[in-house]
Amino acid sequence: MSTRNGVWRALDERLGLSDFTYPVPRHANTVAYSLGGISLIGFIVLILSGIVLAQYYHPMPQFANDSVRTMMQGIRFERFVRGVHYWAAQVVVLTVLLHMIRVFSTGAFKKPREANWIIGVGLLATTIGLFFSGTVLKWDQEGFEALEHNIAIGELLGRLGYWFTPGFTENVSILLRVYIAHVSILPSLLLLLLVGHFWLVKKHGISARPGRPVGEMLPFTVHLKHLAKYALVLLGIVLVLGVLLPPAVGPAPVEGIEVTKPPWPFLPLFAFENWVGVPGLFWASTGLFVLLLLVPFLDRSPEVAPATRRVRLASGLILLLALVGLGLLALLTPGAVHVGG
Amino acid sequence: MGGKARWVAAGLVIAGLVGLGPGSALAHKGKLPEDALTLVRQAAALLAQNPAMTGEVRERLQLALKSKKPAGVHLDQVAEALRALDNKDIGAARRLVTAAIMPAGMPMPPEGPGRPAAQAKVAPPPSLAGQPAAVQLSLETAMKMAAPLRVRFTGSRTETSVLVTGLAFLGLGLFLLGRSRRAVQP
Repeated sequence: MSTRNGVWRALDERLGLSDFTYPVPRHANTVAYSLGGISLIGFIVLILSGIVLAQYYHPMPQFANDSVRTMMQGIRFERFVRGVHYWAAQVVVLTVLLHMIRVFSTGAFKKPREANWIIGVGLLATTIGLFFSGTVLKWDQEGFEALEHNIAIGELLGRLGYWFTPGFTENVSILLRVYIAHVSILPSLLLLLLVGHFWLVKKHGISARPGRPVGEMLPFTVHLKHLAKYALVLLGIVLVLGVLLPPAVGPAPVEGIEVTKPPWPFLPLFAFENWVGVPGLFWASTGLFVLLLLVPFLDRSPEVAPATRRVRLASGLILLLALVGLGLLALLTPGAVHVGG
Repeated sequence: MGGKARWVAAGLVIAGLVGLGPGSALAHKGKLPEDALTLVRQAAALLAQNPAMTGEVRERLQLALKSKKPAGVHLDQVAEALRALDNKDIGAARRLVTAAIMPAGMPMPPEGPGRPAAQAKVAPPPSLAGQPAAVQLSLETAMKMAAPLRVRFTGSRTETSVLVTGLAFLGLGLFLLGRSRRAVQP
């Protein structure tokens, strides 16, 4: 027995590593089927970089913006860490969205995976929540206006939205509560949902590609090795972008003006808000998430091949194009004053 | 879901949008503040972050000139800033607007939407942490702090090291993925 095998056997005996050698189909290693794994790698990068940033960030309104500006002007590495955190967040939102598009287009949400699709929608909502709260934490005009919109929606919802308003507690600033949500509440929720998501993926297995046989099976550890290569690529991309295109930070906010547009994931919703005000923002986002939750119930046929799902795939594509179009419209048109002002 | 139910659902969504839309939206649109200092601060922030919004800036500066609460603002400089705007000299207008509120020191960031913004006081009390709540800055520093901070790549040794590390990760990852292409392509 070689030393390597001996070490493996000794570790396996104690840690049960061979449990990770269960078979997964070879196509799980393609980019399309690795998007969930790539998102997880992104989350790990975000947690690690977030822990570093928390050492330099001051979550009190009087100091928050200045602490971020100091990070960006500092001569130490925290500036690069913020760049990595920012770009990893962009990549994760993108890969989570692409992952959902892949699952929808290949019919991987169908029986028996409906519950996992619903958990996936919860993961998307949590990811968006983390992205949103991260935007607020900079405490510049963009972050401040984002929070003002959130508070306006909270007020619109009355008692249901009370937690999102400054009136919830007099002693703790709302920025501090957003910070707690960003570093504690939402990551805990994310972790819980991820555990459920992965447990169900293991239980039901990686879905087959529509219209093709499952094909050769490989140990899950091979898939993990493959994900490690994607991790290198992802880390490389966020490091390069973090250095070459570090994120900007605006000045400390001024209340009563509306001068910024939201970050790209929220731009399609901004178009609705431009039309009907803050309620448009609420109704559009609620409608979108309700629609996503209903997907497994609206498309209940067992068919997964694209040829047999033309209408549903076309509907999904139209919705996607409409959202992209609305986002571009919001990007190119001047914003209106929706709150305060 | 049947065809009829789908139309009912769509109707309910549209009714919700129409019913809750404009009324509530307008309810959120507040009035402009009355004190000159807040108005000029808003104008300064607008000029620093979106100089194209000259209409909003002018509206605030004109209101500041007529304000019954002019404390903490050099109104003569506000008037000059308005003239600079008329001449389309945004740079001068920004400088004058910033200078007009300099005696009040840099504004404290607001405590949060819905709470009263930290109003300017000529001599604000120190914060709980012991730092002064507002500090007197030079005009240049004040203008710099009021503008977005965009750090650029300068090619320093640290930046280059991080860049090279990133490129090495990227290259190694792509190389390993390419080498195991057989495993990727089923």
